[in-house]
Amino acid sequence: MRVEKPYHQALKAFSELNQLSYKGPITDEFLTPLWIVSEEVFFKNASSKKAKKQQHILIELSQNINQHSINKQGEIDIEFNEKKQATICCFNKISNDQIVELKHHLQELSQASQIGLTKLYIKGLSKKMTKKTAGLGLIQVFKYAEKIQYDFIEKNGQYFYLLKAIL
Amino acid sequence: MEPLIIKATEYTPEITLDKEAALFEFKGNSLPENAVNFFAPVIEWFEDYKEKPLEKTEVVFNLGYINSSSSKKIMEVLEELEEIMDEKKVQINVFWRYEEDDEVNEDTGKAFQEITSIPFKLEVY
Repeated sequence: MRVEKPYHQALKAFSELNQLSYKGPITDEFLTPLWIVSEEVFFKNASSKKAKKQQHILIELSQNINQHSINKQGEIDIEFNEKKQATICCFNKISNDQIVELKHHLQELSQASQIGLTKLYIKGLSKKMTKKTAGLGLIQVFKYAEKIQYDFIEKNGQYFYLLKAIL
Repeated sequence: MEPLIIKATEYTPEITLDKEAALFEFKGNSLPENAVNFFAPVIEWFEDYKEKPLEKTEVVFNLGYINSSSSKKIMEVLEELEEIMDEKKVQINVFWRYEEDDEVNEDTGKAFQEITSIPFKLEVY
């Protein structure tokens, strides 16, 4: 008997209703089918130019949870509004000692112009390889999203990081 | 020198580095979970190639989606090529191909073009 994984229902609904609501492990086992289905959904709902940007943002945000969430678990929600804009929302636990640096980075990005974001991207790309990617993915999310909202939510001493990109 | 051939998967590019055939190409999506491991043999291959490069090397990047950790590793490949060009006084050309409607890929190519001193041509297909 084939055992259906918990994400199958979420991806089926995403494919059929253009709405994703998933909470659980964010590993390659989930990301691989997510990217396949999301490409189909994005291209169905937007021009290929916009769909490619939506797909790129989803890839960066989902890999961000995979690499930085303290337990490789999180939530990914995607929905479209009447203007066919996609809202991609990611939520995950974050280690408390990452918060100050991340807040500073987010603040810097939210205040930067398009030219400023391009300069930050070039600066990050030209640095010698470190363990991290100098936040290149996040710079691109800010560059290509039409609107970004982020927040840090504290619950019983544990912080959660939420980022919503609309485009 | 032995060629390096890496077959494509849905999330990793096909890579052909063949000195004898003068073929140096990256093709497909590049979203490996661990870009450091994936690109390690590529960087190593170029380090060996540096010893005795061809008089003219044309490297083609024909990529789709590229995650940020892959971009960092591609930057390292370009740095290797820069060293070859400067130290061995040989000709290196890079061609960055992208689809017309792929703004992210175009911008990524422009960023590389600004950083590297290698002749770097952007081409729409």
